[in-house]
Amino acid sequence: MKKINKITTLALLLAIISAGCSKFEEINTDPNKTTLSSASMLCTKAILNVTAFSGRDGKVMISDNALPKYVGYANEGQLGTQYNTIGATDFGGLLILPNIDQMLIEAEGTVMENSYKGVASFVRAYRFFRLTMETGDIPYSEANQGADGLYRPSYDSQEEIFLGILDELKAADQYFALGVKFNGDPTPYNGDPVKWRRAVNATALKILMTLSKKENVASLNVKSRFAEIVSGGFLLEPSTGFLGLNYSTQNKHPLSGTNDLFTSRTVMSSLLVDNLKILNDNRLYYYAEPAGAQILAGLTEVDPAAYNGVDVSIDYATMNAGHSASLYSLLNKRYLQEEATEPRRLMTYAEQQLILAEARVRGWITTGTAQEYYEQGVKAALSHFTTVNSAYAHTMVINQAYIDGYFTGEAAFKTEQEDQLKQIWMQRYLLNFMQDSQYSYFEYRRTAYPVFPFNPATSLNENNPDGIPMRWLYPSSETNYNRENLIEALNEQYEGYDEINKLMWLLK
Amino acid sequence: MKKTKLRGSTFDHPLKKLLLTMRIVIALLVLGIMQAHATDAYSQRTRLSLNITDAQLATVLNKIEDETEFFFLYNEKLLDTERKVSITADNQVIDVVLDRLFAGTDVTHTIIDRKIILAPGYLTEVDGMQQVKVTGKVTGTKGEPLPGVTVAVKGKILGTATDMEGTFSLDNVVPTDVLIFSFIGMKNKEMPVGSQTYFEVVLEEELIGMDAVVVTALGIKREEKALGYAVQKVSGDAVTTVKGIDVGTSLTGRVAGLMVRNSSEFTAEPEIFIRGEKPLLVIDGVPYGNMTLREIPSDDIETISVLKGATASALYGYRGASGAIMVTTRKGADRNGLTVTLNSSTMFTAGYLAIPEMQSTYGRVVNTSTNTYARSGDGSWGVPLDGRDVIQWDPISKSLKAMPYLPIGKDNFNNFLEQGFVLNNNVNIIQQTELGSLRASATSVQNKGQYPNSMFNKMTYSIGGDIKIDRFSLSSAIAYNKQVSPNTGFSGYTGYDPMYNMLVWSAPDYDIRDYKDYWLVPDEVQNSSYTSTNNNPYFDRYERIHSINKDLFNVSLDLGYDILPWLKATFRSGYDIYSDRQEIKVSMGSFQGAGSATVIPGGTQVWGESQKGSYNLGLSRGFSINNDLMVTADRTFKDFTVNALAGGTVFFRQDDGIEARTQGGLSIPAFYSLKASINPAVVGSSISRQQVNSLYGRLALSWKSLVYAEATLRNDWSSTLSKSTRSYLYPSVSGSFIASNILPEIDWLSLWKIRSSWTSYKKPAGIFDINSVYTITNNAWGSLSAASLPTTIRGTDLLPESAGTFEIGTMVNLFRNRASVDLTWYRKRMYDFIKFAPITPASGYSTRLLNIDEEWARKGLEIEANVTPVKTEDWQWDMALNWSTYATYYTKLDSLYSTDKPWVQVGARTDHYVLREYQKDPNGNIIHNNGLPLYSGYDSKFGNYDPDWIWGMSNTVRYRNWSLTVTADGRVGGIAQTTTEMYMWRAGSHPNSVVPERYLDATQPGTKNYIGAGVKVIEGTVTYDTYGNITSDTRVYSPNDIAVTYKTYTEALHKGTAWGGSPSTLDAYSTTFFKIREMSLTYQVPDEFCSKLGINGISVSAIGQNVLLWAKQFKYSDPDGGSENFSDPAVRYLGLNLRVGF
Repeated sequence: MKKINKITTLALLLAIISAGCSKFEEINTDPNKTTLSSASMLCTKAILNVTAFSGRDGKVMISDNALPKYVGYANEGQLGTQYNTIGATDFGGLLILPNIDQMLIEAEGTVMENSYKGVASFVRAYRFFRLTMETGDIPYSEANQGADGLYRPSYDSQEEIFLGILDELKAADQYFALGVKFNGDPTPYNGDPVKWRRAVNATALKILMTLSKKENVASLNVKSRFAEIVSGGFLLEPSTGFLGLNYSTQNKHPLSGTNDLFTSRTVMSSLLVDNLKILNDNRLYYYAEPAGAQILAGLTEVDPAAYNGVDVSIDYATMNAGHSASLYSLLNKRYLQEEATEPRRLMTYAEQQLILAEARVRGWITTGTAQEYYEQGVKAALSHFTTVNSAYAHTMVINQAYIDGYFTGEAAFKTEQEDQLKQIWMQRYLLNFMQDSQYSYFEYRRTAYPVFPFNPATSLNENNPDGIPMRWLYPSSETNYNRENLIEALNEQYEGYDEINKLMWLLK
Repeated sequence: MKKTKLRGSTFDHPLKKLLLTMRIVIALLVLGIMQAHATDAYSQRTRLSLNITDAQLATVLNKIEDETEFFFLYNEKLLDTERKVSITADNQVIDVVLDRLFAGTDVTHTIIDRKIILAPGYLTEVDGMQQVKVTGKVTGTKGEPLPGVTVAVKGKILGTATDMEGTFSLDNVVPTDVLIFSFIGMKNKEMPVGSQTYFEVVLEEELIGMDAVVVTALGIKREEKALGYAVQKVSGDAVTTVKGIDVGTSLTGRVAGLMVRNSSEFTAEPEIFIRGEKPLLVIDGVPYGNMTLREIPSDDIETISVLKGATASALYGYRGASGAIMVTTRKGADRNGLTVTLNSSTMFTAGYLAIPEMQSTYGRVVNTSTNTYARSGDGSWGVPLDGRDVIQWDPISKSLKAMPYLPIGKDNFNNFLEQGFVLNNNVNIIQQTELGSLRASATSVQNKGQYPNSMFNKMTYSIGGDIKIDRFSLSSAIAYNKQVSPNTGFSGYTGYDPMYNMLVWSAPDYDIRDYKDYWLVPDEVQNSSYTSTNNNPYFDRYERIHSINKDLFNVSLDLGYDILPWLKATFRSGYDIYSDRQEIKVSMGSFQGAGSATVIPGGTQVWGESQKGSYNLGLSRGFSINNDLMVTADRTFKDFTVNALAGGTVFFRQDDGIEARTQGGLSIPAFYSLKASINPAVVGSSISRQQVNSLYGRLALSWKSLVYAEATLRNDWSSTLSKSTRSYLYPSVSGSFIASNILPEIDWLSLWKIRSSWTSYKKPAGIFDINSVYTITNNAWGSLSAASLPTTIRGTDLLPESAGTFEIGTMVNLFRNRASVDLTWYRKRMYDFIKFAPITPASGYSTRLLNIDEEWARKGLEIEANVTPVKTEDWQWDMALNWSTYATYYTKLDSLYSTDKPWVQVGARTDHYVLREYQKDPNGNIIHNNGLPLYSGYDSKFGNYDPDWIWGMSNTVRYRNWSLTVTADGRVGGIAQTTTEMYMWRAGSHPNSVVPERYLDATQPGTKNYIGAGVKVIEGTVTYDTYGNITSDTRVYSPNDIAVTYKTYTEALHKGTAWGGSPSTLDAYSTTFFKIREMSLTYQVPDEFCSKLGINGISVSAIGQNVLLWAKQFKYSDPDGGSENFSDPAVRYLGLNLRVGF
């Protein structure tokens, strides 16, 4: 008996051991992950990569708005962007590139292939565009080759990168022209290739305008590329809608529900408030709350004088004291209380028309008039507010009647070219508040308008207290894991010194 | 079978005959005592059939011996074996057979198990019990007299000690008494008195720690002197007098090379490290997958063996790569019958070792236009609390009204804290018999934490038993653990710890005691001084809660079979299973969500769902199974002994988690259910599993107790690696040499042992790490799901990580083992690191999973010493000391994947603490810009994380029935961020932030009064290379003369966050500290008193845990936890322990 038991036990164990071996692959497979995917799901990821707000929390959004002097922040210590210092950027956005390649592999041979190619070209172009705008030269031609064993890509010059970006956008236009409705599009375009084509071309115009200082660089051919796109005619129309994302109770606005932590001490800048006042622009009432002290003093919420911005370059302690005395207008409460107060707009008809207006002033195009473009752009920008909950507008509602009567006084299109450009730039500045606010900083680098307040006595920009930083530093992933190529790029551009006040090729 | 017989043929002399008679009497007496507790199972079971006529008694006895396992003990001179007898028995028990056999004689029989003692009746009758005086002399083996030897009478309160000549005399002894001679460092000796009145006693040396047996890998018991690696033993008794929540705390400082980090956070488990790594826990030979020391009550522990380093635990494969803690639980008792032990500990909070304080001079910012104080918590950077009228929240009338502004909340934190306690009660019941034992133990630990609504209950019930029948042995145990807390709370800055509300972002301008009624609108709006950031702390503790409810079972079965006397097969199986239900309920109206808390391990953090209320539910469960089958052989050939083992193991574990949470708020206030979710509830799940199969063998040789050698080999197959690399080997060799055995005898040297070992171990990849799979995000936007590729490039050829450890050690016992020193030095080479090596995301990927070509070496030294400086009859002082150090260095760098920083160099330590220093001029002054300190734009090394060395000390002083034990330990060196103080500075709450400049800032708004010490740049520039080295510098300095507000300056000076950023140098503290960990004063109630009560023993102790703390830099929090992020106040516990045995 004992022997039999012994043998049985042993056999049982050996059975367990041998049975275990054959299932190792199965054991080491996570049922919550998959090796299967679809072009549409990769497409969703790719489009969100460039359209969604990528900051960790609402405070990043506040910080993004402090850099172009929209707001000041009376909380948690000095906000670097308000006082003109920024740090290193992050190349993490480039992690989308292999997903784009995979999307095309999945889409190969399907009817939607051309549309996905269009998405691929657009997302790639846009991703590289934003990064080169932040830092200068970046890896471009050797980027995205990790899978082939190239882990230390060399850098391309900004000129070469822009050339590539513009060509990719041109290709995107062609792909969408051949495309059909595609799946996986999170934007309001819902996979419509015609709308995408228009948005791609509008984006190309925006990027070309960014290159206005380089309009005479032969390789880029900025002006003729611009004119060519305009004459092609496939541009955004008022009915196309914006390229971006709609917020909802499920996908909330980044500031929604932040519980006063970040938003309640966001003070409006006098730069923004005063310009809105000059233009009699009712967006003032949508962007801001009246200053508490003014209301206590008897002013009403409809009175522009009740709205008081802060010179965001003043001493931090003084700003805090002013905030404590309710001297300044705060950010409009709708951003905090509404889950979807306004959508995220990356490219709009309004902005496109303002870009066309500038191009017309500059003589890059000859069709239409600058005034037409300007007024179309501004009207479209104002019409965005017709969908905002008017309960937050302090009764100064923007409706069609208001829009139609907007172009009086300072808002009327001026006659001098220099003034016209400033008007156009100001409208783009007003348009991008709490939207693509980083772009307003890019535009300031190009136009130096509107005039930002500077105070060397408060600036944290130690090497240039009289100015805004001109770029982000390269990320630590480069100093740690791609140093040789980085040093070469720094030597090419910035005398070997990675510093925030250095001028990239684009701005020279 | 050869039977032993006590032959009396040489006992011719009458005196010798008498001696012999005496011995038999004693034997009978002793055996008789034993028998009283024994059940004669064999004699009752065995039945005989005999039919013999007219044979010699000896023949009959031989026949009985042949047919049964009985054997007879008798004196041939006293028993007439040639007597002719006849006997008939038909299936009778032995008792009946013997009765018949000796009927009509005076021979009596005594059966003890298989032994039968035959003796003439007069021998079993003891002579008159008159009391006599005995004298004698005690010497050592070389004839030297031994003074101070304790001479006691067994079982009586009677005794004396030898004088300087080694002689003694003792009155009132009766012949049935047994004398016990004991002396430290010597083996005890027992001498029956009988008719003898003079005793010559020779005591032999006992090699303490050398004949001591320790439990090594796979539960193999070995003599300590045979080991070639470091093992240190802690007895269960050492951890059962001062019983805190976790036994881990009581281990602190007791073992060289073992570091325990005791966090002061409520319900936090102590973290245990051996030589800087987390060891495997093995309970009764089973390496469970889910058991921790938390699940083992101190009272269930017989011993703990700490196997330091990979050689000691090489037989456990990769799981033992960092050493092992081997817990042997109490099994049987040392005497037969029923033993019941009650051990009860009660400890109460008696103040705090470290507790944050807050300034009480300043309140919050007051709005100058409304004269209302700020109600969104931003610290206390406001006006002085000088009694001025300010519009404030009145929690009684629940309205805003003007009241004098005073520091009425200066004791808020202390007032908020509640009396805590730890109740640790255990009942142990053991029934011990000859055949085996049955044991049951029940433990209850109740812990009330420092904050309101913080209770943690831990209940353990275990039952186990073992039996041995013939060649077969079985041992099995089952234990059930339950751990419950209605609210573990939320800790750390990112969890919105109560300190966040009370000490940092609030001001001492409200009295917390008025806020116990925390509702303004029940279940919806809180009655709070603040309207954002800071919850009413009572609301926070009762309406923002994280509950846990964990059940854990573990079962073990150990079957042994002696195939041959020297060959044994063992099957051992261990299984554990747990389930844990956690909930987070955040009431509507809360200003904070759950922060960084999760309801399943690795679960989702939920931020920003607070004000509308939220409910999270997490269910996790898992199990592990570990089956071992092994065959062991132990043989001796002349001077050689051989121990061999071969076996195999299958280990499998699986962990599942499912979590769900409401989204968009609760539909009905205080309705905490997934059904309350306004938007569709979100659900997630996770699973991980792993199997490792192993085969192993071990061969140990020893020669003449002089040289010991051992080699082991194990091969694992792990499911986490690909087919080509999943099989890997771990070899190990070790040896020891007893040098004192070949040296000429030296009086003071009792023993000198030299040992050395080497092993090479492998560690496979993590679960699922080698798989390249998509991550799917449900509802990435609207109803669309998104897929993304992994951001890691994975090779298919990933090898297991490797390390080799070489260790050498020596042990010296001195002065008859009154002192001993053990020294260990080791070097561990670590290579083939499996690393998610970062690469630039410009490559499309952020990491590559591969074996990088970097190598590290860890070097360490451990010293352990035990001394008994005082030892007399009444007094004894035992002292144990340990000291250890280690550091890890780079020994080789990978040109591609090693971090390219100046502090990453061959020869540099790997535990660098990196931060950004202030910019300084050549004279070391801080450079200011616009009056504020400038930070460098580049990281630099500030220090090291790991302590430079750690130490521990234990002292026990005994005087008669009293004993006093004090243990102390500490760490020296190591850097940790003080998140608490950093935020106290930043919020204006730090007691040291009350400076004159601050008063001017606060009372003269708009003025700036603080000028930081240092310089400013008046001209020139500086440039840096990518490492942060200065490439050109034309700066010229003058003293800083720009005034700023104290607040702005302080915020800049104490830059840093709790979100992963590095602190300023001012908030990176040394963790150097020392602690009096435990104290106990025990009184052992005298046995004579106990026996009157029918009790086996009572001891009463006054106890204390966490008695005293001294820290070099940490003032407001306890650095014991290793990192500091709003550590709860460190509690001092004092109380009583009562142990009663029946």
